[in-house]
Amino acid sequence: MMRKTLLGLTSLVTLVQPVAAADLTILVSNIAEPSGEVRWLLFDSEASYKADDGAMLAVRNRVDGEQLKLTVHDLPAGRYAVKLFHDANSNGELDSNMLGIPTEGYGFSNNAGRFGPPSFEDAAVAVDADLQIEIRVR
Amino acid sequence: MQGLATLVAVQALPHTLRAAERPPWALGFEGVSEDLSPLAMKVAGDFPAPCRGALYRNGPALYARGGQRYQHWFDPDGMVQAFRIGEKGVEHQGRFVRTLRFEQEQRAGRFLHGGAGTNFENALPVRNNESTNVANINVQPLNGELLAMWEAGAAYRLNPDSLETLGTLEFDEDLKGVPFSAHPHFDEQGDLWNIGSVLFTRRPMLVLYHLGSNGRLKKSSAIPMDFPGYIHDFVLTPRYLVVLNSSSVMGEGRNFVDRLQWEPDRPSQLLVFDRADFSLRAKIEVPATFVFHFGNGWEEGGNIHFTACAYRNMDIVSVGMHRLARQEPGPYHDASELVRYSVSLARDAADVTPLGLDMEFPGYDTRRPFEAQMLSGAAGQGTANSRLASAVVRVDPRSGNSERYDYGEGMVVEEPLFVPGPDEGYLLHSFLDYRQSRSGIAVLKAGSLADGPVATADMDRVLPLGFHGCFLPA
Repeated sequence: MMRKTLLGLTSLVTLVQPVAAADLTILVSNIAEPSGEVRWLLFDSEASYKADDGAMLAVRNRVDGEQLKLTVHDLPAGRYAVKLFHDANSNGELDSNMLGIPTEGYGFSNNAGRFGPPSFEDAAVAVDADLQIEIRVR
Repeated sequence: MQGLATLVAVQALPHTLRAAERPPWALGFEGVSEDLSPLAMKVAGDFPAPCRGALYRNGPALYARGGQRYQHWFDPDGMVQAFRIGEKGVEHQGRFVRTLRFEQEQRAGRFLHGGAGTNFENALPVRNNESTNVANINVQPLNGELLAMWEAGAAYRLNPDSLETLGTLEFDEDLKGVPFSAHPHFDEQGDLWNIGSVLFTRRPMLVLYHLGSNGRLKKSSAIPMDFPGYIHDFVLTPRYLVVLNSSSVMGEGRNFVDRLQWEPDRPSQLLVFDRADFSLRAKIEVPATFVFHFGNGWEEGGNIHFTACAYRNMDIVSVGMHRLARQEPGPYHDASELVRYSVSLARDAADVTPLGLDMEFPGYDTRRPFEAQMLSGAAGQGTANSRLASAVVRVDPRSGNSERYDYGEGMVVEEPLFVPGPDEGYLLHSFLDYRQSRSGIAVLKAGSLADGPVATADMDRVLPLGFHGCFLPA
């Protein structure tokens, strides 16, 4: 899904566009074990979301508890979707078994998708004012 | 769509039946919500010395949380029951398997995910198949521990003395969370063989496992299947593993049970794999059938022989197990019939011979897994309105000759297990007496089943009806 595409950055990210900017706060909950890191990608288009390429942001944050709060500052108004996974063993990958089924935790904005990954449409949230969302790691 | 979901949820509300409409056997589907601490049972007769030890059984037990109730017998969380038979008496204990799901839902105080045959409106997305593992089908010994098994995920390891959950049975990263079915079979060396049926990926797969008696993986293989038929059990012979890809096939639907479609025009498929390297030796079409359980397999005259409890359709899954779990009156489903398969690898063909006996839960002497031998089973479903067995039966799989003891209406006989002993040995089984609201165990002498039980132990603690287990002598 999002293997080896992430860069180490900080969670407090300020984007420069000043037009109708808002803050998006993401509460990541239900992290199974306090180890490794949460790696997350922020997308602003269906094309980049589907391709898993061209994310606006690719960030990793160390995990030290069951929850994590991430804030993206000064985001231009628009629709955004988040994909994340809990890289519990810090190997840079969403581990999966021989069937290709993830064995580490992951999640999407809107907590969308019952079994497989949701569409951009289902995962997208509209950000036009400061917004907090919760992503429950499955 | 929201409106439709609400409508379905309202129709499925628990306990909408007035008490008068609930059949008396609904007691077996009431469920329990807490562990059951050790309790001395009331004993009648003498348990023969070879029957001293522990009878372990697994089955769906936790039916409701936070005002919501499961709608299918496949769904409730597994509880392992231990009946400890000693010189001084018989004691019962029950403990829920602490699956990931059980622990999370205990904390939440509600169901977080749907079940195999139940949708909950407020269900959360799942990580993978392990998120919904309820470990509720079978319990078998391995390497000094017990394995509590489901069929679409990992087996859970238990301490046989305390029934405490120790973790999941792990092999390597590749096999993490890969289905490990609920009916492993042991060979004459004590090695364990199993399958894993993968119906939730784009291409259906069958995983084959060979474990040493120490629980370590010796080999495994993943085989793509021609179609996603439901597979619950398999047959082990001295040289082969035989798998029946049934004509109950995964299609579209709201949950696992809903997605299974009976396809009467699609032949079922017998797949014969070589034990040595898991290579496919034969693929043979047989008339459409649905089977949960097989008797043991043997090889004779170059052919492979085994028995199966065969259903003529999958109503038991799509109708019967729903209505029973919902505590609704019937009609439920047609009973299974014991049939004998004879498979010729030379001719690439199989003959199916009906044995004229309605039987489920086949058992045998596991010390002689590859000999044609008397099978035990639970019978009488076909004549009971409940479609639950009231008789213990023993049958010769070659001739079809049988002996039985029928307790009559009001008693549900659960899986009889063979216990070695003098003469032809014993059959040990648990039961529910739903007229008296008592659960218990009984032992009968094989060869003299008609005489009825030689000893029973019961209690006013009612246990939910379960599936499978094992007897471990003291």
